[in-house]
Amino acid sequence: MEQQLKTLDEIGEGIGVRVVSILTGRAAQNKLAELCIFEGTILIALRQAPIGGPVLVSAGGREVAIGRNLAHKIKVQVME
Amino acid sequence: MRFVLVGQPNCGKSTLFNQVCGYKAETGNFTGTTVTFTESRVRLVGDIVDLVDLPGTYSLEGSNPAEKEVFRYLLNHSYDCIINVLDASHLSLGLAMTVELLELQRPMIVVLNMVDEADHLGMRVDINKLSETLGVPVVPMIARIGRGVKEVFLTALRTARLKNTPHRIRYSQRLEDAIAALSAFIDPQRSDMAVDAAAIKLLESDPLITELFQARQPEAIQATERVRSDLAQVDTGEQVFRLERHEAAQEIAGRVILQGTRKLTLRDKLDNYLLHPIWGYLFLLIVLYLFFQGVFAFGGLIEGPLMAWFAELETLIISHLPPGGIASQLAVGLVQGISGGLGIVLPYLVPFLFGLGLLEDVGYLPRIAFLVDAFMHRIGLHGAAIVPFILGFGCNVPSIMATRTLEDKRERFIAGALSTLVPCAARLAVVFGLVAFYLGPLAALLIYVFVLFVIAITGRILSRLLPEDIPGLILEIPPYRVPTVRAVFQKTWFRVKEFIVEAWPILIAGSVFLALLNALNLSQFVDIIFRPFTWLLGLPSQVGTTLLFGILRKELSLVMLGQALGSMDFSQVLTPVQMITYTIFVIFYMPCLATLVVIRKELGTRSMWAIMGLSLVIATVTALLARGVSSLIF
Repeated sequence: MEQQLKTLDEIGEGIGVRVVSILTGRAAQNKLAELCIFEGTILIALRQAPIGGPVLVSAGGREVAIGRNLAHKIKVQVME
Repeated sequence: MRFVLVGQPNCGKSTLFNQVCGYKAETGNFTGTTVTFTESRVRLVGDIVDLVDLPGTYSLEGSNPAEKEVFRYLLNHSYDCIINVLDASHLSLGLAMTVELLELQRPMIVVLNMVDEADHLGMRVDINKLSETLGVPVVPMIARIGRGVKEVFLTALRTARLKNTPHRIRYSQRLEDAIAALSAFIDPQRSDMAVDAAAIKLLESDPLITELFQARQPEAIQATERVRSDLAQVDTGEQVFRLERHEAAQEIAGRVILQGTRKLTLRDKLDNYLLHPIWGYLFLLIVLYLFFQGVFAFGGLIEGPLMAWFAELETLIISHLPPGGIASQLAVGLVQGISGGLGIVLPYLVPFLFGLGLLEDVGYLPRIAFLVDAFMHRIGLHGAAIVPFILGFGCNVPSIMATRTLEDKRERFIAGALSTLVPCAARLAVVFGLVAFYLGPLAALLIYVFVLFVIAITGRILSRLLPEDIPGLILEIPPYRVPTVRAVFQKTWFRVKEFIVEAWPILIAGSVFLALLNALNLSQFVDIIFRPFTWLLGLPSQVGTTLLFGILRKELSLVMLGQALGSMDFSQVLTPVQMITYTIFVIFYMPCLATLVVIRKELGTRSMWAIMGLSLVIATVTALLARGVSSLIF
């Protein structure tokens, strides 16, 4: 279980991760919290848009698109 | 032997209960509240067990009758084992109550129901790890098909016989200190529950426990007040425990959920195409093409007859008034204002907004945002800002309205300013009527490419001038839905009404005002005002008036051009260079009056002035550029 942390934009399709820290600005943190994405939340990476587009994740059955820059600021741990 | 089923609504508790109901000997409704629960006598491998199905609740906090009743039952009745049923696909939600139940420190097992559904969602729960973390047995089950039901009761039986009491999950040190401090004041002989559990509930101001202690141990209530004020959390102290329980639940869920493969749903299959790196964009282009085709086909169908009818009306009115007089000119202005509004609203605004509402309700708009986010970032916006742009090609009015979906003020301004540069249907008329007609379709296409280029450059410059951390896209991508016509119509009407009420009256007033200028022969003064621009761009000074009309409605500039220059054959009075220069200037200078009104309402007066100024600068610079480049060609 102890693995080095990655950022959300580095996660391949279909991989489950646990959010470790969200290093975005306050506004983005709040917006993510509204969609029930906090530290500790389990996410499944679903797909990525090409050429630096957003990543699509599933958070508790809800699908959320997160811009690549933001995803880069979300540290996650890959689950086995 | 008595087992109690506890769990959240829809966790499958009652399904489990009904699975064993075949053995039902008696059921009883417990009275006292509107909330009832059922007890059943079950024969299990030689043992007779009473099974109690408590109402589904999200917690034991006592904030509603069901919670209160469940908690009261757990306090006042004798039972041998709690069977806590969890929905495995919503594990962290259910675990919050598990953490709360553990505090009661009574024999307990956890049942993970719907493990198949969780599996479907790509979540496999590590049963052993969960059992280890919670300190109670955990049994997987699919109650719907009866799998695991027998194991549930065997495990409960064993746990009840062993009288294994679990440990509760620890809170943060600060809260544990408070719990310990308060526990010292509680007499275990006079409590129905574990001392620390009572302390937690007292600190949480649980109504049931507070009532109980007021009667039996009033000194504990006083101690609670003191401990709580020591916590300096008099207001939030009650919430702190709940928050920590939820955190603990999330943490546990995070530790025990394993990754499985997610099965494909219809939505996934659709998204595999619609959000595909290649097919997704192809489909987007097709959808947009059909969208515009539909709108323009509808618009053409309506606009022709509508305008013809208004032209007849105009002649009719003029024939009844003294010819050439002020009255007839004002009447014409009035009719043109009314018809102008109708000409925008009915043919273009209504189908545009209807189509948008349709795309929105189907769930496609957020997917467009997903696809174009990367491109939009290059002009300082994010994917959600694409909607104003798409709409802008029809009419800038709805595109300004659509900036409402953006949260950030800066973003709204940039999106609003840029979308006023998008050539709307009216400007399309100028491009087609002047450039495409006299210089060929290729020239018109080049103008469109140039316009998009200008928009992109402007976006880059604006986002540099207004630097700020772009918040980035965070957008829920909803499931696909079949839209209801009623909802789409309501949405359309709501937006159309705004145009009718806010912008149209000003359009009519402006039209009458221009008619007055004409009637009083003041148009040469208008030409003088516009002279700096027309001189700079090498245009005949008479086009000044047409530019003023263009503010009213962009295609009026083309209509008035013939009048101003005294010929409807523009090739006789304008050189190709002048045509291109004039068209570029008309496209960019000044959003039309209706758009300005909406900008003022949506983005504020200052933004309106800023966008007006910006558009004049862009129009002058680009028209000069067009003049220079095209004079090299022609």
